[in-house]
Amino acid sequence: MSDGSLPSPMKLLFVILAHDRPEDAAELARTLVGAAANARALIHFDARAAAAGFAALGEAMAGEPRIGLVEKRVACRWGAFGLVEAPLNALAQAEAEADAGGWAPDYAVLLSGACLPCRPLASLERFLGQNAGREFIESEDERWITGGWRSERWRFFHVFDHKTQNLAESISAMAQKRLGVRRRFPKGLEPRFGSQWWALTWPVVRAILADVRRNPKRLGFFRTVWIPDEMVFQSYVAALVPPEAIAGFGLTHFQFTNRGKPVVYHEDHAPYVRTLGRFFFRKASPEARSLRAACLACAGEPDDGADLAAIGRPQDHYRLKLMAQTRYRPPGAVFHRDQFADQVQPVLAAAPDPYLVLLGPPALARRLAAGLPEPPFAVLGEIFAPAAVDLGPGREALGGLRRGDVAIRDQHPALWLARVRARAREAGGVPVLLWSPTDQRRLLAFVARDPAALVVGLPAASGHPARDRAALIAASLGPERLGAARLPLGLPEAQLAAAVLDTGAPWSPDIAGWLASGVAPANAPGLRPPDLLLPWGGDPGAATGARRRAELAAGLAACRFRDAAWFPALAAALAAAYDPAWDPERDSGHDRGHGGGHGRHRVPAGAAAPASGTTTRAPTEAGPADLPEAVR
Amino acid sequence: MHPRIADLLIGLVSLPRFAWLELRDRRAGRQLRPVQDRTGRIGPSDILLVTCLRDERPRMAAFAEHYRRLGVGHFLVIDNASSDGLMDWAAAQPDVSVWHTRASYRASRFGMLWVNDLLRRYGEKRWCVVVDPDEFLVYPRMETRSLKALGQFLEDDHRPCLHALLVDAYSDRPLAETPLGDGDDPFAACPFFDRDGYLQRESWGNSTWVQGGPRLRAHFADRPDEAPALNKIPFVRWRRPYHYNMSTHDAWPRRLNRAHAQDEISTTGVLFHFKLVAGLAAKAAEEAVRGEHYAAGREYARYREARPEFFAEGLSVRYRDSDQLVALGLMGPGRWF
Repeated sequence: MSDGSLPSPMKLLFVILAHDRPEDAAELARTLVGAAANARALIHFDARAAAAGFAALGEAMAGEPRIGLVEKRVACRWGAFGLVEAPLNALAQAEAEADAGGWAPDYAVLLSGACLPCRPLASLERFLGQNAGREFIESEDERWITGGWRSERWRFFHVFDHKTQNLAESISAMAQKRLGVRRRFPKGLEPRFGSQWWALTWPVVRAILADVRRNPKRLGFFRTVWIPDEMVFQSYVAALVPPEAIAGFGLTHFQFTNRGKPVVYHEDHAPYVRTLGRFFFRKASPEARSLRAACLACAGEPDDGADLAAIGRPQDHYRLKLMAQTRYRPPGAVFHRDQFADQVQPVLAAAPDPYLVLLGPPALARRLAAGLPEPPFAVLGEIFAPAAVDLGPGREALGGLRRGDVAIRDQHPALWLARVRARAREAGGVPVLLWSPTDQRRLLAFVARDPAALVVGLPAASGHPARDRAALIAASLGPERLGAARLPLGLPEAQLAAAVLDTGAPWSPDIAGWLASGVAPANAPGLRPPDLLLPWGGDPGAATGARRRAELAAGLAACRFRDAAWFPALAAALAAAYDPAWDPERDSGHDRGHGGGHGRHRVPAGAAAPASGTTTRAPTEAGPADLPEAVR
Repeated sequence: MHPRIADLLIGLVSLPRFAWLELRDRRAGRQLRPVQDRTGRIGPSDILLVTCLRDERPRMAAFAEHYRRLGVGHFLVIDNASSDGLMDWAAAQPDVSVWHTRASYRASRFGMLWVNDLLRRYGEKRWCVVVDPDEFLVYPRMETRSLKALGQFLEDDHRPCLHALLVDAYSDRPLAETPLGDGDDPFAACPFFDRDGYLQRESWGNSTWVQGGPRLRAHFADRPDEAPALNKIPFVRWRRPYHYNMSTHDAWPRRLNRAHAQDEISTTGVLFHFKLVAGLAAKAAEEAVRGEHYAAGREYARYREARPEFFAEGLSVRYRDSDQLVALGLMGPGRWF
């Protein structure tokens, strides 16, 4: 069909099923025939719609020689046989005209009044020219149906309207199931399913029309099936043409929600619809006037030369966007059950940026933190200290989080941690937190499992587990808190220290024991050993110091975060500041809870003793070497 | 058991309760006297807005403008003894109907029984916005999608309502220097809000109880448990058995209090609350005398005590658009593509 120089443009017949809004259907038809030189349109206007609408439509189309109205109108209720009859009537009308010596198309394209073009019609003509002879229709077996009735769609008699007689419909289906009703599919046809919207070659259309005339009973079977518009043309085409001639997809994009409703496109989808791998889409919101205008304008554009090989391939946009919208959330996202105050792990997981936890006696952690450069780090204080939120030296507030917000913090510590980290990041650094193993142990147990946390453990390591544990607790609590927790039992300090820790709630894991041994406590499985260990105490000899430094170097070399840009700065600062022979007696934790001072000023050992002259000594005063007796 | 039969049985069992609730609404509804009834103009698919107010005249222009732009078709206003010329404004509004009452706000469960009764009369099977005049609804992609589109989606998604977080907006000046004059756009007067720090707990019937924001920071930092609740249900496709209880924080039947469909993440919104403006201290003094508010106006008592600035560097952000609120996690589009 060539006139020598140019291939003759495809002759297209657009069959438009309009249910309401006659002016929109008219506009769509006008655009389509305007954009494709050799196209015609036939509008079927729902018989249920107001007569005035049809009259208006007839008036508007009177001056359009290439647009016709289907005269035999039928009611097009959802899922009713009218949705099959309407296009059949339109096609029969077109056939009659063609037989009378008129115009006959190459392809008939079924659209709805709510469909819009999303690519230039010139591209569609090119595409159909390249694929001439293929039937663009979905024609699958019953696995195409994702939920609900499958073979029941045709095995049972369906006579009730789904929308208005819902109860009667399900009762009737239940009854037929009980009675074992099993209708036989018409001879010569196999049940095939697919979307209602298709583009078929004219010979196939004629063959269907001929069969309908010759064997009306075959079509009549579908009057009492469920959703015949997803079955009739699909089954006929499968019976009429070899499988390789069926493309398996239509030219109209549609997407259903998980509730089986069509996804509606809005103004903000204007760029998106241009990326769809079809030529038409449905359905656009009736309010999206500028989307509609843009799409109609796009139909008349010249062929953009886009690669059409991807037409009809499945696209993932909808699924991926919904996943992004429902699965990913910032910490504390509102109305997300997994971000509530009783949750910890999901809140931590919602903030994946790395952060540093210096876990051990605050006095020692402060010395190490003081050596960390800012940037790349943002050094904060003991944000979970019981008396006040220590946000760092001299800092009263950080991004609206205040030193006095203890009650707010303690309502949802994991969220507080996420908020503090977010602000430190905004200040331009990897957050560095000081954390005493006696504080917020439940949260700490989760932080110790958080892949975003680099935990630097600062355990006491004299080689006697019980003594080390007590020493760590004593050094971490500091004299004031030990004093406050003192019970009137005359217990030795170290035992008291252990008691303070052990009276926690049953889910509080023994962080101190874990820190010392690297072994996860029974009630907190899955804890990994700290990423880095900087032990202190015990024999302060040169050999110990050298061994511990070598272990630190090995730990740094094997650290999970060693490839991060900030890691060399961390390695250098820790190596420089680490004192393997650190002794809490020298660096009392006296200033903790008051903030400001970062442990740089040393408190003399004597000053740490309670001034009241009690007979017991402050635990920090008692060096770790003194502790074994006390624990025993 | 077939779910439909189960529904039927549950309905039968709870019938006495709902009959009682409806009776109570109807009784309170008799206190309402229509002073401007234009409900005849309500179109078949119009979205309604119901509000109960007292002396809020200066807010009304911006309030109506905001909701008209979103697509509200008719405003049903319950005027609880205003004395500031509300009717001068209302008379010129073709889409506003007004009922008047001098009865006790408190005895009407903080206006909710009146609201319920109007909803019963006009709201059946319609999407209805139920807010105070200082509450401005914002929802995902509202710049390009109307309330009607949202309602249609929620209906398709089998959701009876939209849950929203009440976000207190404020200015960067002290309260006394934040006036909100007649017709002023509150988004311009109070452009800031707290970007995070909203604490959530599960409450009865799987509902969400949220607290936080500037009122918690300024007045309840030492006892955050007492801070006002920020979870609301401002957009409902009304059905006869529905009833708000005490406030729009919770409703009957209980399933309305669930923000999401089972095992899913549904669409949620934000309700901007423009309460923190210059008139608040005066209003607080008045309400303390009237004692008509929740928990004997405990919250109002606190506004009289202290007049802090709410702006906090690093925590307060300027409202830009709905995408910003989604990115902050204050609301979510759910499965709305």
